[in-house]
Amino acid sequence: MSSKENQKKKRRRYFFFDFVKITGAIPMLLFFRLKKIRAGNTKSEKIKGAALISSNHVTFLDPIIINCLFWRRRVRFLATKHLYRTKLGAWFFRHLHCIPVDKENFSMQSTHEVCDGLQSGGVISIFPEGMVNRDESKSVLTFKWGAAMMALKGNAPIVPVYIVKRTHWYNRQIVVLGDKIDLKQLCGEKPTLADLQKASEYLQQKENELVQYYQTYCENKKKERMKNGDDKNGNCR
Amino acid sequence: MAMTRTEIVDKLKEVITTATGNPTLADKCQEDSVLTDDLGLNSVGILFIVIAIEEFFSIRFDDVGFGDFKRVSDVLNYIEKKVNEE
Repeated sequence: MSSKENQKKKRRRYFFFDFVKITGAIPMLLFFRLKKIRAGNTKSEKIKGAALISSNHVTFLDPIIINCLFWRRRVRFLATKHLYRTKLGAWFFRHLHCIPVDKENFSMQSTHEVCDGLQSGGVISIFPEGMVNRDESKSVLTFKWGAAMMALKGNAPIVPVYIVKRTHWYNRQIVVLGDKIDLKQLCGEKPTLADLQKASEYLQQKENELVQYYQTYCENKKKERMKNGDDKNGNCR
Repeated sequence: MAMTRTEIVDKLKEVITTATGNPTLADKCQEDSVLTDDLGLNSVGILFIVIAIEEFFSIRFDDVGFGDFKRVSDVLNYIEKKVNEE
């Protein structure tokens, strides 16, 4: 098959995905008014090639935030199987190229889909906390090892993201971006189970660093505002 | 390539040792050993070993999840079925 035909086929396959993304972009960007804070040396949120986006999970809208953040790429997500229980839900999530996962019995098919997706240069987003964090504090739940395993097996770097929980719906959505993490450098070519644990802990440490960075950023902003007399409360926005 | 069950057991022990980096686990690996209790593997650990098995035996576990493998014998049965099918 020629590359032109391949491209045509790909465009047709992603028609619904692109349609939802384009039509949803303007209302979502207006609703979230994303504010990106770069914690590392990365100057842009552009992703070239395969990547696994690892983020904390604060609301069910997080996949939309991630899609708004990395709008240049088609980001795929893992979706729990219960979202597929209705015909409409199954059709919708299938056309959004989500990867169905069964939390009770994580299947090899899901693992293959993630690894194959990464190996073919795709971008997949995962929430290693495994559930929505309803804790009011800004802390992150303990990461499950799955994200590290998939990044290692899919041979892709991890992009850590920290989504700040909004206190009010009208506040700007703040997102903190970290530098890419190459777990192969940490674990080597043939990682063992112990390496996997180490990699997962490292990932958690990097996420906590993003939380720390955000808190320092807020304190500095607060001081700056208080100094200028702009905001008596010195809210971080 | 057909393999006998004994050959598969030996190779499985080799895979487990390489994947976990713990040679003592291979000794604990008996047919009736429970993966979570006797070998101390969690869900991701089981998936990690299954991926290592796939690479080693050149087979693909498609229609199963980590919950389908309770004991070492379950893994052996699946490998035996897949290896002898090809």
